[in-house]
Amino acid sequence: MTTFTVLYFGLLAERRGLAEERVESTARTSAELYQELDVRHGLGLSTNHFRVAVNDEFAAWDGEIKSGDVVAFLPPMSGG
Amino acid sequence: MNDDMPIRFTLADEGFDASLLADKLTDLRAGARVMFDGRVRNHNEGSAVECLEYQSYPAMALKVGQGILEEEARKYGLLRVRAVHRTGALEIGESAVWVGVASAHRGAAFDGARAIMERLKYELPVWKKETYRDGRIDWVGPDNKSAETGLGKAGDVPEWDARIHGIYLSDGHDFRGRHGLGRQDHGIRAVDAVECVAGMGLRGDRYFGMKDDYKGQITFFDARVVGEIREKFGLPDLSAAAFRRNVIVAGVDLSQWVGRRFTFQGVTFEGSEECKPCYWMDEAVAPGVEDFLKTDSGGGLRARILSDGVLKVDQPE
Repeated sequence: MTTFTVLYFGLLAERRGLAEERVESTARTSAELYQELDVRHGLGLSTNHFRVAVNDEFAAWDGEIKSGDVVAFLPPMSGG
Repeated sequence: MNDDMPIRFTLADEGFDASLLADKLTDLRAGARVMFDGRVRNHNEGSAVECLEYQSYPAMALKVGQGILEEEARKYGLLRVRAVHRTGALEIGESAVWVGVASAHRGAAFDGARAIMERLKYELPVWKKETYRDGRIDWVGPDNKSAETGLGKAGDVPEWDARIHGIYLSDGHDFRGRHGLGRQDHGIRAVDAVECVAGMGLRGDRYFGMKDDYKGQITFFDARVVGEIREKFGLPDLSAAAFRRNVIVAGVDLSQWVGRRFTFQGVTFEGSEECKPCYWMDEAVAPGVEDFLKTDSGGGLRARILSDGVLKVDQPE
């Protein structure tokens, strides 16, 4: 098991009911981590439709994540 | 941070004074200043808006915003750029975003300000939550549609509004695995159309059927970057084939599609990663091109093919 810091924004923060949490997981990629959390909390968005950032940088869903990484789920942005 | 930086993006958690920002655009070389003031309007998609709130991811928003300003300043030759995005609760009529640019001539100022604004809307990690007069609350997505409708539904994959300028295939690898050995010289063929085979690649290309779930079944490259390199490196006749990417497209920002699905000419793809430029680029095109692609434009998009179909050139160069 490894520990990740997960950040939620917008719609996802509302669905999860919090903005930040520590998660113990065996996930090796951001996609696996999201799927696990989606099953647990019913987040409901598909990874096809939003982006992920690891340690404050946009990242690929199938990129590897390691212990201590900050994984942020970023639903479609709406500036302006 | 130095407030006299010529190019600067900031977030503001309360109302800001646009006249102070405009002062920062003063530059005696500039014959034009364009300023855009985006305000909270009292309706969205037919619903009366009571108030709204922007949530941000500050660590990323500052970096992404500054990056957008610097990239567009370079592209349009802007001398000074300021942009601010609000966070927190806003009333109707308040400024939500402000963009100001200064440049030698008005064309670049209008175009640059517009380009910055469009990118901030889609790329800046901020999220808008609207509260309507009737009590409903909604997280709004880009284009002011609800972030829930049109998202997460099976089969609802966004479509690229883009044109294909060229399609290139090669029978063999010129560079891959040849570190220290020098390039090979497999020809590259321009074709009018190519068959995309799900999970396999482009029929007739060197990466076809390379391995299961291969990330680079197809590569896309931005026609705009081809043009920029021709200009910057004094190579007006440089063929788009030189980059050894498969599909040269215009009208889409490839950097937005890593990790996302999209359809294009009826075929479904999934962006897998940026096609990172490597040192071969200097040999394949011209010295300095690798660095140019790394800093300015990216080396294109690698993608998996999820459905069978045909891509056709629809706007030949």
